[in-house]
Amino acid sequence: MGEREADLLLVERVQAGDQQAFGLLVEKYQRRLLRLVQRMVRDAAEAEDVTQEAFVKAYRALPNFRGESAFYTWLYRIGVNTAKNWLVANSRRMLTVSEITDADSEGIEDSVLLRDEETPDRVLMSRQIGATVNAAMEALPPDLRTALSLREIDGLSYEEIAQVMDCPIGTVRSRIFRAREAVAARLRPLLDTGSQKRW
Amino acid sequence: MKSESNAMAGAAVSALFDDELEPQTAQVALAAVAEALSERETWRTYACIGDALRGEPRPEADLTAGVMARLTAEPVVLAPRALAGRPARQPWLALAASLAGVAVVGWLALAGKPPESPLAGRLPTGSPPAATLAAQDAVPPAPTLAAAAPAAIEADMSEYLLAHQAQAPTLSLDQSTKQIRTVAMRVVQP
Repeated sequence: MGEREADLLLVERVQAGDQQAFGLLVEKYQRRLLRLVQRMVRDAAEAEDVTQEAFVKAYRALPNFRGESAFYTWLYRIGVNTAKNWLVANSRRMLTVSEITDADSEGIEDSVLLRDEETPDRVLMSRQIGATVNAAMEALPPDLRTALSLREIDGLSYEEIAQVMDCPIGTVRSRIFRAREAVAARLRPLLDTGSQKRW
Repeated sequence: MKSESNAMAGAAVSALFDDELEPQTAQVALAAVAEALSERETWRTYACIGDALRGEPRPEADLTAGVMARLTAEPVVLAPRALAGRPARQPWLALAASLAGVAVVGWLALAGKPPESPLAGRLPTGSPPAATLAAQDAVPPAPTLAAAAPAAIEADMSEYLLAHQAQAPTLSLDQSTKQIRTVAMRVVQP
């Protein structure tokens, strides 16, 4: 099952009235959409507001989503339109809006602008999270570390990882899960669980 | 036993997060994630791990919580949703409607045609079609005038008939046709 099919399952749940399923989609795509919006809206806080607005618009429009395109492609268009509207309303200079196309939706690499606007609190939190995750990765057995790295950093599918590591797919699934749980155990105290409980 | 099932459920969530579950298993895992707070927290933590490994920045605000709070605060829309399995329109209905329309127009055109007027044969043969139509609607005195009149009088009579054809007792379809031809006749005549 690919990303498109998995997203469609979530979308169908939302369309059936499961609002929490939309939270999973937000959690899954918020950083990707934020990076996109950040290219148009320079201020980090405003970019987050625009991203949030885009998700709310997407939720309202979701009953009309028929799955003819991938969910993120659809969400991407909503994000671009929301950012454009925001720029028009705020009479701000539009940053390379005309140059942004659908093709960019999957491969926006730069997060330089976002980093320029980071607050000290955010920098500190990001560093703490990064350090914790790196330390946890270092402490993992090599098989687990390799499996998780191939998945998260290199973006390989389970089948590709199985070929690289010369093991069954079930083993890959187990290794990635165990690696994640080991890292998560160190990370959870650092994350703000209070806000999570709102959704 | 319980920890083993928890591990299996956790592994399913992990695979679901990677879009690597079979569709049927994914349905079950998805329901678990959507309904259980602990599973949603796991989902969020996995997302955070991936972001950290890729060096992606995290938003300062909790976007998910913000979006969900806004959605919860929104009024519930009670309008009925469009039917998902709405049957397609049947093409034969359109064809039948077209045929019915043609039949009605044809019936109006043929059944409502008035009987041939005696004046029709007395008008000049080279006169435009409008004159013939006008003659069909002629009132009873017209044949007498037409029989004795020269060409100039016939022309005057035609104008008279045309001017009064609106009062002629004909069907609306014929009347509309007459009006069209009347305009054409007036353009041709000096």
